[in-house]
Amino acid sequence: MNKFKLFFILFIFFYSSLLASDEYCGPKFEIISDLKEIKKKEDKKNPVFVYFDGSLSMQGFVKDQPGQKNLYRDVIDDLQQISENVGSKTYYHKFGSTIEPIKENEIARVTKPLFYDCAGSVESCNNQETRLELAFKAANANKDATYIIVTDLFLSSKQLVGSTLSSLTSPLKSVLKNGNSIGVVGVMSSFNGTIYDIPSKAGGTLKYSEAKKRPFYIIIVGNEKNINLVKKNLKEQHFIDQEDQYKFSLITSSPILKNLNQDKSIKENYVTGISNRDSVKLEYIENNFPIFNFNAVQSDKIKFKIKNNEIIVEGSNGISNYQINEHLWTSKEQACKKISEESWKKTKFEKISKWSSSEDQFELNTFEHVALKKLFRGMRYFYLANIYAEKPGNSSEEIFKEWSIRDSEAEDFKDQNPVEFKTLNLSKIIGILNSVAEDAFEKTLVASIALNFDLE
Amino acid sequence: MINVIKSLFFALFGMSSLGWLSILLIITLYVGPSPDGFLLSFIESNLINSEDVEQLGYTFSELAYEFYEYIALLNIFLLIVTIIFCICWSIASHFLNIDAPGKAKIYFIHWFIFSGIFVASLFGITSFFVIWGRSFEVADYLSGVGQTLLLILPIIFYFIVYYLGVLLGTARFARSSVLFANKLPGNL
Repeated sequence: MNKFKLFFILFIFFYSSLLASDEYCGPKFEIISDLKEIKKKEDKKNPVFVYFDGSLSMQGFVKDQPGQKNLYRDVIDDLQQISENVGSKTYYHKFGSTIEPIKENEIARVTKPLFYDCAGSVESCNNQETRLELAFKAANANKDATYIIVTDLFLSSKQLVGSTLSSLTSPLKSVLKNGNSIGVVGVMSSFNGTIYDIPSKAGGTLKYSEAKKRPFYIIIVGNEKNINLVKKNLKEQHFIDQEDQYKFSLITSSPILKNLNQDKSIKENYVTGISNRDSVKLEYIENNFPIFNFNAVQSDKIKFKIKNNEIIVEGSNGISNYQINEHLWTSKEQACKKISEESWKKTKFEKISKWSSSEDQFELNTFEHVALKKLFRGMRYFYLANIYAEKPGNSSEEIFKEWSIRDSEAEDFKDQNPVEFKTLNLSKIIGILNSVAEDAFEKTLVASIALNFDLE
Repeated sequence: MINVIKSLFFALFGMSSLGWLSILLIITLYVGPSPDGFLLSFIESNLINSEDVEQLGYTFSELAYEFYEYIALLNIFLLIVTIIFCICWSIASHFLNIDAPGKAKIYFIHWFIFSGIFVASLFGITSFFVIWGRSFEVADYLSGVGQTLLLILPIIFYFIVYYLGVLLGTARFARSSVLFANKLPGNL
């Protein structure tokens, strides 16, 4: 019995000393714990509102053009089913200079030329202009609903300035601030009709009827999940052939999927470039804060890598600028047991690392500004980095650039008798959407990490 | 044999005329120089990369202890090598085959090569401490100027110590082999 007791006491002693050696011995610092929760909407199905642009320029999409594939009719035909997949009930509207509801049994008319005709006088007709801002304003009414707007997005420059612009952007700002996003699907379809309101250099407007192809746009306002669902359905059902041209961009004020610390997503292999790889040990302390412990040499090129699909919402513009909030401490004592709070000295380096971002990943090149070679060996270092997404990207402008034409170039372009006609001011419109998203964007913490290492 | 012992005594006397400075430096470094003294301010302003030390959040005095040990160790090595070389030459000079007038001058070449090896040894030691010695982590504190000074100054100093040693320690009949040693009084 006595032997057993002795063994038990010794076991407890060694076990406790083992535990003690694993205790955190880094400097004191503030862990940013007010992690912004990424809003996850309930899976409850909400209504879907579909708005069809009823302007006369749209008529060409529903008339067959020999030798060209008509994607408009196919897409519109399926939109009813896609909308039902996304939401509980679908409401249809037509918009031009005003918004008019469409009965469910009249939806089939959208793919017929008659839908875009007007029997009355030109003044009383609802097909003479595209007041997109009305549809956007309506999209702000119910923040849980999904809004699908089908339009040719043919907006003149005067619609993109002053009060008309603010009536276009202010509802969008509210939409984005509510945590919703805007998906833009551009589809190149056959066209057999007249394009109106092409600005001429003299000041008036021109028409063009020789175009055989032209893009139309499906703008989806709602939560990211529904936007991606609509896009997925469209892609799987309609954009199958290689020659099918379509473009997609998700404009959102919250392009960050999550903070990697929230669910301990950061793993040991996120840090690379350490020659003594076996020494790397990842530990999580309070608030899911990860600390990489290892031994480094001055020639190491330590990098922290995150795959973009882990932090960035799929299809979104991503992040164009990150901010790294970083600090470095040193301690002359290297052994954890000997290190006390006073052992740590906060260094005066302001910039230590440099970030870079590619299509696939974010890379934090630690010790790029302050090279490890500049640091003294025989010391322990504690590097802390809070990585913030500071500014959303604007890659969608580049995506849609080839389908866009400026006011000043429109007449010359028309005079070339193009078969494929471009969209007036498309880049400008996408740019406006991006700037609205940027305004609504808040700096978001992507990840916080610490590197605790002996420099040998 | 008595002449050899006399030579050794003279060699040690010659070396100690300046060598005491080295011993004093080593002792001072181990004890720790005065915080307001010349040595500390010389090291801080000439040898240490003060900017890097400051950026890391330290003052030199916080890191000085390890650095003093390092400089002291360097001097111990250099002093030992100097003594060994000086004694070796002083003893060897008694066994040089000088059997004709003017033959001692031929041995100047031997002395020159021997001294060259000595200087190379000094350079090897300082280089090891300052540039190649990965185990001397405190060498990271050195500035560019500090590295150059630590490479050159000890070589000059210990060569003078060595020269003074061999000047007096070389056998009387072989003095012509050592630069200016024949200018010494004959009764020394």
